[in-house]
Amino acid sequence: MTIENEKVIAGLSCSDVLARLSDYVDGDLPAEERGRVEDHLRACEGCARFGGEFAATVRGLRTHLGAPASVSGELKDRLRRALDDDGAP
Amino acid sequence: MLGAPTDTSDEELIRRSAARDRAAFDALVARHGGALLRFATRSCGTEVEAADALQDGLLAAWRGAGTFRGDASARTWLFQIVLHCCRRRARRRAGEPEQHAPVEAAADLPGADAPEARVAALQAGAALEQALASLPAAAREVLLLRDVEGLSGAETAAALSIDLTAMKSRLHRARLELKARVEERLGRALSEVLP
Repeated sequence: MTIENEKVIAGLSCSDVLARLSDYVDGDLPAEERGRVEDHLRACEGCARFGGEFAATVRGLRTHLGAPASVSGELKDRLRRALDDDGAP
Repeated sequence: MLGAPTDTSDEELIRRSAARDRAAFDALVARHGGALLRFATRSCGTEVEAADALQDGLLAAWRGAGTFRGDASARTWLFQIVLHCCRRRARRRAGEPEQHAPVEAAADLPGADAPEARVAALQAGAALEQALASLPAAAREVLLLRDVEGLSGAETAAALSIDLTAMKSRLHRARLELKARVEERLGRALSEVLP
């Protein structure tokens, strides 16, 4: 990704912030670094917009694709038979 | 055969499974089977392949319960086994036409009379599903484990048999690529579809 009009805010360039977005949304950044990323995001409209969309995509995976799943009765029966038939000790 | 109460830990269920306690193994399957099937479906691309991979994986877990060392959580171990079975099936069908058919129908589901929020959710879900399916396997796997199934960073790295730093790097690249592909499909940002 190419960043136009790269800025340095709170000691972090836009590229630095982009590289830290995953750790930021996962809560994996140390407090001091997290604070600098947030200072940058507050002052940089482009990074704030991109970061917001990035976080929305990550959240969307869980929200829209992480719905409770279940194994159908038919597949359960098939698995049960496979295990029953398995001769391993 | 001892029963397997619902508050029994996964690790205890595997220990009992190693002693050939089918009830314990059945309880483990009841607890994680749905998530494993969902993962396999998106990893393999078709429900038929996913069911086969799940069966392969559960048989391997049943046979290999005695080899569980507890280095990773039981859930991670199960995902690791099913992932291995999905990859093995993918290698077998290498050269065949791409089978991924992610809920294309979902894009057609919203009817004219469907509530707006429901339509937006369906559009977003379909775009995410299609974009995910279009990614290379390595990117798809890390997103499925970490972001869809909710494994921790360490669990995801363990399931993929890579170190945490490599996993984080792969995850970040995969998220960036997914974001780009979702927006390409929607023609706008996800947040514009889901206000």
